Amino acid sequence: MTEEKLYDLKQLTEIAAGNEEFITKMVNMFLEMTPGLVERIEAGLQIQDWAEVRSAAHKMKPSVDMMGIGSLYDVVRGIEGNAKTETDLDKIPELYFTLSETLETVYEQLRNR
Amino acid sequence: MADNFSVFVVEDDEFYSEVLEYHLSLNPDITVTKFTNGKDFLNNLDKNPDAVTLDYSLPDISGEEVLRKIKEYNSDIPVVMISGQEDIKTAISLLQEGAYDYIVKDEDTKDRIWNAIRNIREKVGLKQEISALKQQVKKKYDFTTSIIGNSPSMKRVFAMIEKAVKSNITVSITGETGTGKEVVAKSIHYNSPRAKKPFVAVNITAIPSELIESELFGHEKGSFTGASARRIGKFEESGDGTIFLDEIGEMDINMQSKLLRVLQERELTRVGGNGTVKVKCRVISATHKDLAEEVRKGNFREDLYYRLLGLPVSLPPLRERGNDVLVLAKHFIDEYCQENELGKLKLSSKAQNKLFKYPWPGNIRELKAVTELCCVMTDSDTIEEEHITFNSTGSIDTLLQNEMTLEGYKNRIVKHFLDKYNNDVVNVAKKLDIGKSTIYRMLQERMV
Repeated sequence: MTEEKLYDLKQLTEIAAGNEEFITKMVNMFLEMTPGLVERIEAGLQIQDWAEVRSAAHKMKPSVDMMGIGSLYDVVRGIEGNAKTETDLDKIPELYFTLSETLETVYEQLRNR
Repeated sequence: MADNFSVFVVEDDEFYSEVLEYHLSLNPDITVTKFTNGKDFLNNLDKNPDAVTLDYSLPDISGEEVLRKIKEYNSDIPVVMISGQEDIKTAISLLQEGAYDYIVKDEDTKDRIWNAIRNIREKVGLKQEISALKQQVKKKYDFTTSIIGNSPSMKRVFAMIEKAVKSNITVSITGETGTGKEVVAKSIHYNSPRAKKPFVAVNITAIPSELIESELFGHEKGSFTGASARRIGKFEESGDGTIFLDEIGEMDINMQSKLLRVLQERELTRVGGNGTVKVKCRVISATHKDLAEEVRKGNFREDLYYRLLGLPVSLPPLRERGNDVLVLAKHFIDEYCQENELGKLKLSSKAQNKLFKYPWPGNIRELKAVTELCCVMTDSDTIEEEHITFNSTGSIDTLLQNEMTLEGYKNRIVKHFLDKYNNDVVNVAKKLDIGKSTIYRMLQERMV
């Protein structure tokens, strides 16, 4: 069974205007940078440092959007929003779990694209 | 448009910064320099970028603070604020602080940034063009080069202009038609501290009397039939600059009292309006009439006359400027040759003599037209006497220049009156106090 592709490079391809090298560069940058941001969210969650959680989620937003990971659009915003307003904080771990699980699959898919 | 356009991208998100750099660099005229924090960027502000894209959430200094520092350094640098989230309150506040645009990071960002930078480039290009044109205008109206003449009467004019330039006094310019009243008014404006502000010229005779109030002071929507929207008048348009009221002697007496009130109060009310607007502009007026005489005749208000008089600059007619005629003629010939990429032309001595003797009823305007025609008429590098044609109208001096016989003058006079009164022989005979038969005979013999 073919696994569903969780990312869509349409927007990046549009910006690249046919430059495949640029797309590869950005994919590699995403693969390098995002795990660090996920770790920051996790660390923030553990010590309930909501400012850190918010900041890392905020920073992740543009690249998640750019890589066309549609299923994480609301997730990353949910983490950022809840951490910012410090409301529904109990929902953040669940959102974080979805985020990290999905990203693991995306990393894998991008490495094999 | 600027050839090389430098954009500073201030963005701590490397991924996003890379995308921006790549996207903007697709235009080969744009050079992008990236900064990942506010401090590094501010240390490089002296490189004066043409535009800045600034992330609102920087790690070291807030975007708002960086924007303030940019505006303090150079308020002309356009700053496009980029934020990770839409926040109307923040957006309004940043735009009020002087940000050029506020863009949220989403899938449309690239197009919005592209458009913002394109608009900024156009604006910068226009600004540079305006600045260059202003320089040209300033140069054009540098009175030491734009007003030409060495005659004692012109030296007096130069002295007065110099005084007018250095002060803020109201100026009244008098002189016959074509003596260069508007050139003098512009020279005063463009050499004064108001040079960068507007110069607005209003020719009183060119505006129907029923519209003059609205033209000068503006009107509110619906104040009269046809006033479909609020419109500011020439006084408001002048702002802190100069308003030039040409042919002020022709102003209707009722309008004179309204103008007087505005000049006295230094504030105006738009037609149909209630509120007042401050008047800050300098007033320069001009007329070919003897205003003092118009006051004596009761055609011009005495109080307005004194209000406008200020520093009087009297421009002499060309016929009283001696050798200036030749100096000016040579200047106009050179100017025409240069503009039309012609070789240098010189005036023969007989041509110079012809120009010198002519009374120039149309003054400098006429001299310019005559000399330009000379340039066209000659086939060599010299303008001869026969290339000079005078086409003045209505002046007895001009008519006498033709040096005709008495019979010739008589025929011209009768023809003039016949033209004027639609060949009404009876009327013309009455006007000239001659017999009808004389005119019929002249017509029969084709003398007229």
